[in-house]
Amino acid sequence: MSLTNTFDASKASPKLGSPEQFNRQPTRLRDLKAADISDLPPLYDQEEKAVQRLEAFDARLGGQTAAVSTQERAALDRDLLMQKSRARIEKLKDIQSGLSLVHERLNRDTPSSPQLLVQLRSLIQSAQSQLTGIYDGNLLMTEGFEYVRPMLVNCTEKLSCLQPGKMLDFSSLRERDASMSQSLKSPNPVPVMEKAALLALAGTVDQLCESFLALTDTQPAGEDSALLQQHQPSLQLLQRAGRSQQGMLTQLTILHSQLSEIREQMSLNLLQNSLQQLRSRSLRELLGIRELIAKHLPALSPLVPLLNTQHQRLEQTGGPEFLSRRVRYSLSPQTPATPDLPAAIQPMLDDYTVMIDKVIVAFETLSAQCLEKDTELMLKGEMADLDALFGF
Amino acid sequence: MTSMSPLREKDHVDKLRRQAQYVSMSTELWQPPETVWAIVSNTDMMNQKLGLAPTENSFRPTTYGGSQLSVETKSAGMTLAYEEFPFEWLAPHSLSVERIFSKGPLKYLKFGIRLEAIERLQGPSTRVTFEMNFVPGLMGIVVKGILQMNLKQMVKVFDGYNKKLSQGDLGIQVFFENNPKLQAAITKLQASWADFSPESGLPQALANYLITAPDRYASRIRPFDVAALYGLLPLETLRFCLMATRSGLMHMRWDMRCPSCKGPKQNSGHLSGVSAHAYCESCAVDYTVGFDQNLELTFFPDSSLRKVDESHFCAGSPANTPHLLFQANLWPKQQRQIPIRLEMGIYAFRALSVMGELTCMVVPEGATELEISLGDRFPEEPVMVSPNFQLIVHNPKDYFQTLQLENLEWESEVCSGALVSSMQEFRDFFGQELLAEGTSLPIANQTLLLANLSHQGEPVADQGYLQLIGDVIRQHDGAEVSCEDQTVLAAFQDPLDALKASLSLSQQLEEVNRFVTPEQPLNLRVSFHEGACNAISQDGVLTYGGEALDAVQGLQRAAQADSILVSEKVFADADFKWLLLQQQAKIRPLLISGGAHDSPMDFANVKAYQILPAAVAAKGGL
Repeated sequence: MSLTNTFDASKASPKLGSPEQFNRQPTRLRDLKAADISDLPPLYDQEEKAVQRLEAFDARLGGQTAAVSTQERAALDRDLLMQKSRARIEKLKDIQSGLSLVHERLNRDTPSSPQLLVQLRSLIQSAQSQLTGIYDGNLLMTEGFEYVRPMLVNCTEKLSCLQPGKMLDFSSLRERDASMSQSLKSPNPVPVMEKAALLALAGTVDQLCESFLALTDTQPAGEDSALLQQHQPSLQLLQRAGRSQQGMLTQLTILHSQLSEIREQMSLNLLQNSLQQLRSRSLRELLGIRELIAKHLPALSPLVPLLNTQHQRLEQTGGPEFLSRRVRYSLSPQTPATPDLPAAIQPMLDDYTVMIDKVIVAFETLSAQCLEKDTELMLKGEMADLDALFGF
Repeated sequence: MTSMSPLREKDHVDKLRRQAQYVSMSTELWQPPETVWAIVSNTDMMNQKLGLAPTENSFRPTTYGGSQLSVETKSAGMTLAYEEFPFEWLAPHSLSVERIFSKGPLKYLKFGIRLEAIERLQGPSTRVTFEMNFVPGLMGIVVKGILQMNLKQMVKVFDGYNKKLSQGDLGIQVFFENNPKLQAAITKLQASWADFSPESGLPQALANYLITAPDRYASRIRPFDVAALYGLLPLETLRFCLMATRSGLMHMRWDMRCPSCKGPKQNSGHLSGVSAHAYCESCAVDYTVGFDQNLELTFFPDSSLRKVDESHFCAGSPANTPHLLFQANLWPKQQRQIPIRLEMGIYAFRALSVMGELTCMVVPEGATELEISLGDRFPEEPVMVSPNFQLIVHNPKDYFQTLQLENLEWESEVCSGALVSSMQEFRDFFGQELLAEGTSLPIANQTLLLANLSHQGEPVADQGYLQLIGDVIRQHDGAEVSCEDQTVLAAFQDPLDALKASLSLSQQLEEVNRFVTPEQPLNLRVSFHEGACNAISQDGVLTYGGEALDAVQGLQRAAQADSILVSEKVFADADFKWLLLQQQAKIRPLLISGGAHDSPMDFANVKAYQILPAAVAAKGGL
């Protein structure tokens, strides 16, 4: 059914008929996401949780196989594959950053004490065991694992070389690197970013091993006895409890490493918390500023036709120079008296300057936060946009 | 067009008004008027709570715009038929409606509700007064007694709402069923959804809403409304609704909303049933369906969970048009003076019978008086008024007109077709949701992105790399639409997400080039633009055509390796620039040329911006 009336002719069809002239701006996705930026702590294992959710959904759809199209099945399989890959990459990167920290500490604290070496070895051991667990359980790789496995085994074995009483030779392990990397890099079902994460990890393992081995080769023997000496009272207690010396040494090493891990974790947590606080505070401030600007700019834009008229009228009285001065230099909220201006214009000018001031305050806050040259340049760009908006 | 009913003649109505008797009753709700208004204005829910029967509504279009409403309903076994004038209201202060009866025990009824703010020691409160002016047909005393009983019932219903509000219910939650017997159904549904979102309140919130919300709400679940009501993340709520729909416990509905009253006047269970044009019988207008404007995706429960009835109990209820803050009727040649109180902001006066609209800004130093004449067209110049102003409105025409005031900052929280089709989950799980062949829906703003990888100028065809592009797009709330000649076309609802995806792609490619392909480095070319286009279905894919696509194709042809090329329009966005600053990207303005091969679009000297991500710039780019 079709009708012809004034609304039909004026509002519905023409306004919606021409897509550029739709009369209302739809909700922006960023406004919906604004709630997401609140004080939520980062989720370290979010990728793995996403895998669990996707698997639960997959299982639910499995109950209605007939209803799932080939296209949907393919999309779901692809999503699951990529999600699992993302979860593994997250873990690979965690291990890599852990090993990078060990490497950094090794270089920073040279010459390393026996205690430090024990601590670092324990961290390396922990990384090693995490590495072997990545491709297990629900993160199992269904296709392409044959390209990943050699690389994983090689990395694990290289890390084993760093433990006391090593049985493997690092240089012989390195000889296998080229062919394994080449095989992993070749076109195969392993997702590209996972390849990059594995190769990056392998690089870090190599660097760490080289530094560690270089150091331990020059380390005087007897670090174990030094450790025993230091913890003699505890050892005596354990001895009285009927433990062997080797067993006690192992026990002590484990305790020591656990303690250092806890300390490490505590300082990491502290750092993480401070960063999070800083991040949420700056995001809040930023959000506030953004909202302020967003609130005022649309409110000002409908004024443009009015202001253009004012602009013409003010040209005869020296008004534009005054306004330009206010926008560019004068940040005082008070509008100074301008006796030359016609009386009717003054109140409008006052409104206008109050609004301008609000925008300027917002930009001032921004500029105070941004001291870098690039930022300043960009703010000048924003100010130029503002000038353009008001026809200066 | 139908001629006017004699019941609507001004002389007849005036005569009835003069004869009318008056009854009223008041109660108090311990909340400010702004909170109470959301409940009071929902006369549809109130009528249902009072046990009134659903109404049969007939709209007769008028020659001058809008329509006239005739209603038929039952009450106490009697048939009631009446002509209803448009509701008049000013939120959050008062509402009223006049009805002239042709059948039933009444000849005339004007029903109204007034809200008065009261300051109590315990906080702000509102006196709610229900008023009736009526002319009985027969047995006046009996009719008066029945109306007084109705008023008592209303007070009782509102006292019940007051109790629920004081117990912590918010807004429309006061209308929700509070029956302990429903708890088992909620718990069962919640448990069946728990593994979709194990650590969030979503399964419980949605199960609660779906089981206990009144039919009016449960039959049209708007994910962003649910998120706002329960303090959930909007996009997560939408994603959850999509999963719940795909697993069979909910269904989708595409509402083609009228741009004037925002009512879902036509709908379809599938996109294939959506047409480019629709008709609103209450506004009596044809309207175009815009993919990002007035095509909204809503959900409803499967009948195994709950059967919903979409009967109407009050067609003209102000709650049906929450974007309108004020509505007033004017008889031919009538002038009215109405005190208006508004919050600071931007509004628009409009009328179904007048062309255009009058933009009205409420500012502290605005005018205290505003004169509006409902002639042929509203003036184009915006006006500024103070928060308290006198509206002097004049109807110079010889027909009845209704003036409306729309709050332009009202967020409809619409989950539009454009928004949802820019999400990969929707495209993955509902790939069969396609527009009918030949249907093309306009989009005012759609961000389209093109991306490809090359090595020494040759496009990279390896599926792994194309998958990487698709994965990054998805992670940034975009959707891969198609892939042609190793170039991925993606849709985003927000250009800011397109920028984040582009920067992330660039960063990931840096890693790939460093570790996987150091001997044969790959080059990334990305470009995107936001603009008007059309949504269409082509080769079994929901895709886009028109200006924005031509523009992004033009940009992609001009894009250089390892840079991101964006249009001037996209770059004008303040958030966009802010993100680039944070990322320390290098930016260079460009003038690009070169028309598209198969498009009439002229690409001579189009302004664009080339973005070089910080890592690329550090290697000496640009």
